[in-house]
Amino acid sequence: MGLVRPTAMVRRVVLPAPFGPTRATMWPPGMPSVQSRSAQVRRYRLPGAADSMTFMSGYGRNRPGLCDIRLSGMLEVDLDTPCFRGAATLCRRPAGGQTEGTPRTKPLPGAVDVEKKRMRMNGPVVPVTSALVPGTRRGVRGGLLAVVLAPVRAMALLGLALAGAVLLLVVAVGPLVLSLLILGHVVPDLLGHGIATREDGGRDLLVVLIALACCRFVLPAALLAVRRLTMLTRRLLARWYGVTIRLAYQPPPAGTRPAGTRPAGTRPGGMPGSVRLGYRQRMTWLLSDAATWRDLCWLAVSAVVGPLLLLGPLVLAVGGACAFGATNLNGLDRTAGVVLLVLALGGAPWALRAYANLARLMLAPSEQAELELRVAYLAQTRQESLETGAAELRRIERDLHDGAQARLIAMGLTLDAAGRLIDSDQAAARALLIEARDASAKALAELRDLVRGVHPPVLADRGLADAVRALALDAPVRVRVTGALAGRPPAPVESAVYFAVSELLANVTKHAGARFAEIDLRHSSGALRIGVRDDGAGGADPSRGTGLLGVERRLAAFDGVLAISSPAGGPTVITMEVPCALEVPCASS
Amino acid sequence: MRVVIAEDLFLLRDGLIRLLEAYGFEVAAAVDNGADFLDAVRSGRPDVAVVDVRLPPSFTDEGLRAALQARAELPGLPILVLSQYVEQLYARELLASGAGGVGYLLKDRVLDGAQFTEAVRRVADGGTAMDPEVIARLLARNESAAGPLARLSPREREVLGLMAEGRSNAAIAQRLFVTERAIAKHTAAIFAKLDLQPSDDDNRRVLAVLAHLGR
Repeated sequence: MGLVRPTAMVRRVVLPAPFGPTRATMWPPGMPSVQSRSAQVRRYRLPGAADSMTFMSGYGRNRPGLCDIRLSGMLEVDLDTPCFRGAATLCRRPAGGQTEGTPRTKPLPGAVDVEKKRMRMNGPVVPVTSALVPGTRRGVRGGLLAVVLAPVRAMALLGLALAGAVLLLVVAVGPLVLSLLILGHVVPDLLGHGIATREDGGRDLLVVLIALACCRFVLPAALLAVRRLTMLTRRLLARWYGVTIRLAYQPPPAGTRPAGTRPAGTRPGGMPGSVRLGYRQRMTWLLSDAATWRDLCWLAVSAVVGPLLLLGPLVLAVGGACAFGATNLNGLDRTAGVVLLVLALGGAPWALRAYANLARLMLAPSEQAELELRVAYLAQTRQESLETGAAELRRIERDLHDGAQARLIAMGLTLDAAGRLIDSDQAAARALLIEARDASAKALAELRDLVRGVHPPVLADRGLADAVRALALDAPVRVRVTGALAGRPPAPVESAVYFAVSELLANVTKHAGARFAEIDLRHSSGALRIGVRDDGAGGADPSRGTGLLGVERRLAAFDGVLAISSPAGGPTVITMEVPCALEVPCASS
Repeated sequence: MRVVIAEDLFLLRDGLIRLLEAYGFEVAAAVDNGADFLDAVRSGRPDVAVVDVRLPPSFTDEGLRAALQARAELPGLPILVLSQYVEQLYARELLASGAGGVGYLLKDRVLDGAQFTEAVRRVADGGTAMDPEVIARLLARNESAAGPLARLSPREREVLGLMAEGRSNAAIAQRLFVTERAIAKHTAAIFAKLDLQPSDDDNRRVLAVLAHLGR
């Protein structure tokens, strides 16, 4: 843990009606969990009966699967920041038929507690991830529940194991038949038996064609289905037995996406610049990934071990019941029956847990796989930050060339003209001198703007908190800044976060049509956290436009993330997190 | 009128000395860092001080901090702060005490010697001199928030801007090529629309307007 930190994850809070869009598929009332095609969804229960809140972790841009790693211990969201509090409190349905309630600013009593009341979130900072890792009930009630639920769960897992076996066959059939044919025909031919004209040549050709078609059309879909199946197994095991298995699938090649998938939060077809993968690319992507092979191995093992472990207790129970119900009873049989039944009842949860642990053993990525992902992630963010840097330099060069440089040339020409006129026409010379002065003022103003865009002076002078305050003062909407920092983050982080806040505030003004915004700054648990909330129209989407994507990239260079909650109709809550340490300032003034 | 100058760039310091002397000021001291500046104003209280925000050794807001400290030690010491850029945050800090005799101008304003020295004199007399850029941003921020500023006519807004910079009615009238009486009428209307107590004192009037805008 603590090693793999994949890139940006979009997290949005879906608020139930009347505050946010409610789709029955995503929010079935009364369901203990919500399934989504994106990744993992957890539902939180707020103190009131009508209150609920969902955190949905979606995929980062084109990187399905990565976010799950993040969920297993990396990302923290400070639910106590006023921004999040605002979003959470908005979940509360107004009581007594009121249609609109003003958002409360005080934290909810008892704050947000997770399903099954495992975790009380009333501390100042609660890592959501720790809440997201499901636990199991303990104690007598938990034990009883485990016994009662064991048959159901066993059947479900058995079903998955059998489905896996079928899938494995489907995956294997094409390549298997082909290789058998090659072994049976080509190898003997090569060994010098000559091409025997055989009667069943036509049939063989048909088999070859079918096998090829399997490889061409069925195999990629089957491999993706394998992935989905193991993901489902992972999810169920995590939910039931608290066995979290990290995902370590390689992301598809940059700018592409596998058929039938799309990043969370994007509309169908709404992904700019993503190309469907071709057959060869897709096969390379899937087959070069160790995780695919791990999944296949698991399917093979689970097809054998699954029935043994899962059906074993059932067989025992049935045997026990038969022994108990047999007509010609003697004491020994009766005792054996009871022992068998007790063994079955007690053993079933144990067997299931063993199955879960086996799954973890087989499915968990190796350290190397995680390192590979980490390296790929670092390479990508490095590339992006280099590109950003180069683009910035080009912009500065262009601004200087078109702005200050041009003005200085014009100024020189004007002064030259004034010099020539100074003896003959003093009035005209004076006018030219005034013109030159004005030009110098304009050049200065342009340089000032340029400097502001490169490294804002207040940031250099006072640090992030005051720079954000200065931004807030300059914003055309009312912005309240809360929170404080005890020291200064490293300069690059400071700068990235400053420009991120600047971009977000620009969005608040330009797109959200907000009247009020709130920024919260704080540093806790080794990360800088900034929340930006506005009362605007909502519907912010990083996949549209480049602003939010740019912010994500800037932050990703520091392993930072951006989380967005922006249901249509608002409010938009954006939380940024950058892991960093604060430098405590030396005592001065 | 005795001036103390704190500016670390030699060329600019030299230029300021020459400019101020050309307009009849007496430069009592010209220093290049915050500590020396504090020593200079402590040893002989000048009529006005001109300070650059960014000074050594830290090259951050050392000058501003020195200016604030000087005003804390010598209440009412008129100080004009110069900077390559203006920040509302700093303007607020300078105005926070609620007293006059403060100026905050872009260094560019030095280019217009007459206007600049007029601003220095105004500050020395206990008035204020806020850079038009600060005021423009202050107004822009107030305009969008459908506040009382929306009730002002364009002309009144123009007058409000000039007033907020710290100019007297006479100066505004001269600038807008109208009579002083017309300006007085405008200011009365502005004060009524913004629900401010009218005041004959120019300085207090400016501070009231700035406080209103900076809310």
